[in-house]
Amino acid sequence: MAEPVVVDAAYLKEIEKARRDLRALISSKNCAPIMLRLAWHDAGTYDVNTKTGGPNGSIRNEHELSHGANNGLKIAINFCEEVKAKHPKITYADLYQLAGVVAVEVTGGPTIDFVPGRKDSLESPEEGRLPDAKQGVPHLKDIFYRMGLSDKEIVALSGGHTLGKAHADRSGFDGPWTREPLKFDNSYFVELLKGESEGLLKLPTDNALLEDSAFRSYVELYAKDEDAFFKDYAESHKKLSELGFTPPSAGLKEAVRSSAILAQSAVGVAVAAAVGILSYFYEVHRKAK
Amino acid sequence: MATPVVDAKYLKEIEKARRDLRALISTKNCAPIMLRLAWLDAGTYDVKTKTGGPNGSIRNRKDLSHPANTGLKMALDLCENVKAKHKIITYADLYQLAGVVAVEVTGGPSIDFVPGRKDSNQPPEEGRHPDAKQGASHLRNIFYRMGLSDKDIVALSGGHTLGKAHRERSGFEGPWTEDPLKFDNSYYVELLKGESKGLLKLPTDKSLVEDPDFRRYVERYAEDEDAFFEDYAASHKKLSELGFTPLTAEKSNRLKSMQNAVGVLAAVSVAIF
Repeated sequence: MAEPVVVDAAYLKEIEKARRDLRALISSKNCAPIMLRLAWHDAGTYDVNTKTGGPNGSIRNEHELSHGANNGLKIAINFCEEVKAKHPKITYADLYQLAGVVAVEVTGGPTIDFVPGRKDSLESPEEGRLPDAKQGVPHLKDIFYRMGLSDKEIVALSGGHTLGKAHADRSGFDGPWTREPLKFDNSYFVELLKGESEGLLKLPTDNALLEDSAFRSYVELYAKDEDAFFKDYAESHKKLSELGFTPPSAGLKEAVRSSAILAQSAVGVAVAAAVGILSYFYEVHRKAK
Repeated sequence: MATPVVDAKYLKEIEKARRDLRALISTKNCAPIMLRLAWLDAGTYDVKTKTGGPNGSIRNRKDLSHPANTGLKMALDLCENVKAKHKIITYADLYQLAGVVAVEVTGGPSIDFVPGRKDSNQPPEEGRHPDAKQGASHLRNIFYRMGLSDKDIVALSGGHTLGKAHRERSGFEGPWTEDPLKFDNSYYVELLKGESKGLLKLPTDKSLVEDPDFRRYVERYAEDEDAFFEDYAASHKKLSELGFTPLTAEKSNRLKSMQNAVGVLAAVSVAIF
């Protein structure tokens, strides 16, 4: 499907209904972690040089689903199918990203701005574009810089491990990173700085965040200041969810902002004119005395 | 107790509490009982005597250990966890915020929430909630006493889209809808179907289809979920603010005064001319 998506009032309405359905689904099934992972794995294949991959729904393609990195994601694909069935108009690309945004929201995370209009694609990128948990700093930089993301974004997005757990039969690793795997907060960073924590997971890539000084300074900031983490996370998540996507309403937002400025300017001109007129008549009145 | 000062700090705590409530209510799948908590705190209002209403006094009930209140006690304890992390917000605000979040995370409409309710330390006014075994005239007595309308009665009854009754609590048993953790208009659809296997209809639910004025709304909401969501959000907000003058009313009065001043200025300049 390569035609552009028409984001009209009807589409926006379906998005809002899908958002509410996703809230109910994700809350009642406690599946926020796997939904967040689905959104991340659809988006995280982006290559900023070739402009391939990215959030385009291609992850539902059997071929891509069978990549090792995507073990266990079928369950999230199936949940999303329930919502797609009720809102067939919205693209899979939008649906998966909306699911990621809702997953963060219902687990107590920040509100992430969501702009719809992503096109669907069935072309899947080659395997190997997502990070390998067994590797370290240079690998993380390779993978994320290839997407067009920065050090700050690498650390902030790693905070997504505040949710969920690894499964021995999926990744080979096991267990949650934090005490409350269904609560979105900054405890991932707090645990990371503590070092070994009984029963909690630290992947080699998690530990890598402490080994690089640039990464570490963000870890320390986020461990200390949850508001700073939420702010950076929301921005990074939005950026990830829009890799290779030019939101169509960017133009609309600009028009709205411009007309507001125009209206304010008009009021300003009117006030200045009133003052001018008043002064004139005051002068006339004074001279007439 | 004093009216809370709704400054930037208070608003920030409200937003943090909102997020904590989302996580709590989602994880524990306790949206129905949290909605009920908000309703029970607010629904004691008497518009004539200006007593009762959403003031947190529900936590001072003398009968909390009674089996009928098992669910309520659970909801109060869960809210205590959130209150402990955000001490400056009032219980009255917290319970209403919990109700708003309960509707949101189960897929319901967004309900406007304005903070600033005072807490009351006295026990709540007893006997002011509807008796499920009664009918339309009883419902009108109870809700008109609060200052609510027929439309509010029917829209708010849609809250039964969530949760279920428990024999050991109310004497009634079971959910009203097929998906008790999903906020939608299925309560009305089921009501119009008549008897549905395994689904509950209280005498008060049935009165909504037996009374012709109530029935109009039931039919509308069964047919049009958007209309239900719109009316529900308005009625829920109204209920959550019974006896409470939201601060934004003050702000909008200030704005109106400013607009009046500009108008006066314009009139004066015309007069001089």
